[in-house]
Amino acid sequence: MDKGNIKFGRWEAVCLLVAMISAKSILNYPRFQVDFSGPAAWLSVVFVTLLALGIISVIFKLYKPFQGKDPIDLGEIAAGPAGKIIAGSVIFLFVGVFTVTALRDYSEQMKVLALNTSPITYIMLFFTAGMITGLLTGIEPIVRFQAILMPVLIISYIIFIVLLTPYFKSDNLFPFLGLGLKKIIPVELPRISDYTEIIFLFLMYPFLKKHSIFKSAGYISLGISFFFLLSVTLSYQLIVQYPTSTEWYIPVYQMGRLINYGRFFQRIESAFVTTWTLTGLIYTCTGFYFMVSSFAKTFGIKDKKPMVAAFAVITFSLALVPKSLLQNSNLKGNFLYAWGWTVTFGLTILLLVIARIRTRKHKDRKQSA
Amino acid sequence: MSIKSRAKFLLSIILISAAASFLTSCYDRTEIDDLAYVIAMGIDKGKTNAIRLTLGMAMPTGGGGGGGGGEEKSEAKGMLVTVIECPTIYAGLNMANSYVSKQINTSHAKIIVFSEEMAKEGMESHIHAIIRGREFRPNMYILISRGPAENFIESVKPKLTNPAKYLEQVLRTYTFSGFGTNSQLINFYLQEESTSRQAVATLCGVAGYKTPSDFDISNSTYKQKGHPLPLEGDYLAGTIPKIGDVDIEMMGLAVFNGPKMVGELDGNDTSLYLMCAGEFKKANMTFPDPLVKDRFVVLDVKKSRNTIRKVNYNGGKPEINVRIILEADISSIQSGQNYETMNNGVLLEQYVSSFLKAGAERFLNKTKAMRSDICGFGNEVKMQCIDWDQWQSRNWLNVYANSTFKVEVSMKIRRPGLMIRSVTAPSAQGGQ
Repeated sequence: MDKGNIKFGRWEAVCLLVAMISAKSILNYPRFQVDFSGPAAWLSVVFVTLLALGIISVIFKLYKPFQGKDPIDLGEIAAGPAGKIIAGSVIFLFVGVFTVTALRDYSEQMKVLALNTSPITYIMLFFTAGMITGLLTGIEPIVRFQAILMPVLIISYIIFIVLLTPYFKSDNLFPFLGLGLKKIIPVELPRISDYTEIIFLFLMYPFLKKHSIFKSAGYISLGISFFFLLSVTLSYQLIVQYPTSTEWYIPVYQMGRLINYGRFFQRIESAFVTTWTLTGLIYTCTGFYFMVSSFAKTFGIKDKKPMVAAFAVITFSLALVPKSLLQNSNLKGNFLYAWGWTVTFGLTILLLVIARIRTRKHKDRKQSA
Repeated sequence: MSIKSRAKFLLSIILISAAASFLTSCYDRTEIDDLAYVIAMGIDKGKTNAIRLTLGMAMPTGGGGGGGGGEEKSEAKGMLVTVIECPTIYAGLNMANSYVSKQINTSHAKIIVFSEEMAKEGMESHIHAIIRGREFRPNMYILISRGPAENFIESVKPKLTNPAKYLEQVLRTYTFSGFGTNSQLINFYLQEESTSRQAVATLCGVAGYKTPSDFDISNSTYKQKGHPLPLEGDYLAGTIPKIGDVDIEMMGLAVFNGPKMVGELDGNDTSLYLMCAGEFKKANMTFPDPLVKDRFVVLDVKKSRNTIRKVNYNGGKPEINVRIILEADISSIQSGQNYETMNNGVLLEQYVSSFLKAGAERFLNKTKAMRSDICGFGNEVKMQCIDWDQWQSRNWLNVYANSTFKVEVSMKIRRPGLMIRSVTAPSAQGGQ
């Protein structure tokens, strides 16, 4: 494991988390929100973010005594080696599903957007090559790359939104409460999983060392991700009225196709294909790194390199299991973003509570002895 | 150099060579010259199949120049037109690919023309097919042809520029003529599926006259409005008394109720539609002279403020209040009356305001008869609803037919043009 020698700062951690959490905004996130809440989709984003903020604050408080420990370490503290293996396996499988579905999703999107005559396996091969390279070079180049790329992505994203403003129609946001609070709240509560990628912050903790950096990185990344998720949902809603907004497949790309200023400045969505590719590469690279790292840590394997080829082949093959892009999207929508909170928030809180009880008991026993 | 370094060096060379071969997209490249670009597409009802598809493709340039910036020839630049009967748009494109040597590409299509007959039957399935396609751009225009779409596309033969540029430019003239609207595919599609507004598309047609002696104003709408003579907007596409080198016309709107066309608006109603919908920018408009019979005053009318719209739902009998705020410069006073003076200026303002008010109320009642809220007053009602169920229960598209309208037009004449007063030319018989 690299964790003993490598340490990185708040900015790098924020960039990695923002890239992971906000990546969904360029896929079908706005449409999912509209599906669940109708014209009040943007309000749902606010609601879910506040909920996530509350839960994360609780996690940070519980995490205070466990500086530099990731959830696998917490499993060990909570229930010994068995706890480590159980927690590690769950996290490995969870991050694995993320990586596998993301690999297929980004490759399919590339096929739809630009490379429509290329076979899907051919496109996946390039993402897989990126994943392997990322794992071999280690976490440091991955986060440094993200730190360089993030300002470029933020600026191009803001330009993109500004160019879309002529198409905005405020009446699309009404009726204000969308499908109605009674319908929205039960569906939106599990949507806290939209922030499920915050698990990478917990997995990154050993690299961050200090609790203050860990905490501030969490809050800042949550804030920036909120900006991305809210602005993309709002823009989509302001352009496409409900229920037509439930029809669009890749909202951000389709909105990009609208940008048209005179006879010269149009078809700029081609420029965004690069952004899409880089975002996909970052996402799959990070996912793959933490997937293999979790496995290695859980089973005490010190050298990850021999596992790289095996995991790459497994990930590549599993990504081809969904019969279609729609099946893959459903897997993400109905499983990861519906139940992801149980692992990211549920498991982490559970481990933290048990670990705290065990530590306290251990301390009490020491004091009484 | 150690063996390890040599291996690394060799590996780098192999990787760079592999990247150079795999990443340049040479495998599935398509040269521009290998594609046939559709500029205009027409959809008529077929005789032997569901649709008759007309494809107007860009003519390849005769060597050299071909592209931006070159000198343009003054001869008529038509399109390569092919007509095919087929079950669907994509089937038609596929069939055309079997005899057009180049691969047909629609990513540069500027217009899709539906015949009136097709539009009356409903366009939803075709619009969805076009929106779903990756090649079609959302910024292309939807036009409704008075007569076969095939004839319209065959008549697009601009002399001053190429057909693509011509179509792009002519469809933007509504911003300063007021005789059309922004019927881009994206707008039409969103309006067609909206629960609070219905769709419109620009009307087009082929010129109806060959010589000036054929001119006939019986097809003009001026009598219905009580105008003494046809004003510039009292025509529908295809009825304008004009001849010359341009065979096509675009004036007026096709009104839709859901996916089906239910009526037409002439150029004048189109200007009033733009004003009521808050989309009017500017136009030269002719009004009867308030003081001298059979004389006209021409004003360069501009939007001054956004149109204010208020809707009181009133238990299913909506009261719709519209306040249109305009300003104008004087372009012409045929009678020579001094409307530049304060008193006469106010008189003219009041007259023009009441003229436009009467026109707008007549136009809105026309949309009510068509049961089509093309101005989007439903959006005001939607904004008053708390949730979607309440909005659905208001059943706006049906309730619109029960609406009553109250229009107020505020017109201020700001500038007299380059003349401060009108002096009548003296004649030999004496005096003015």
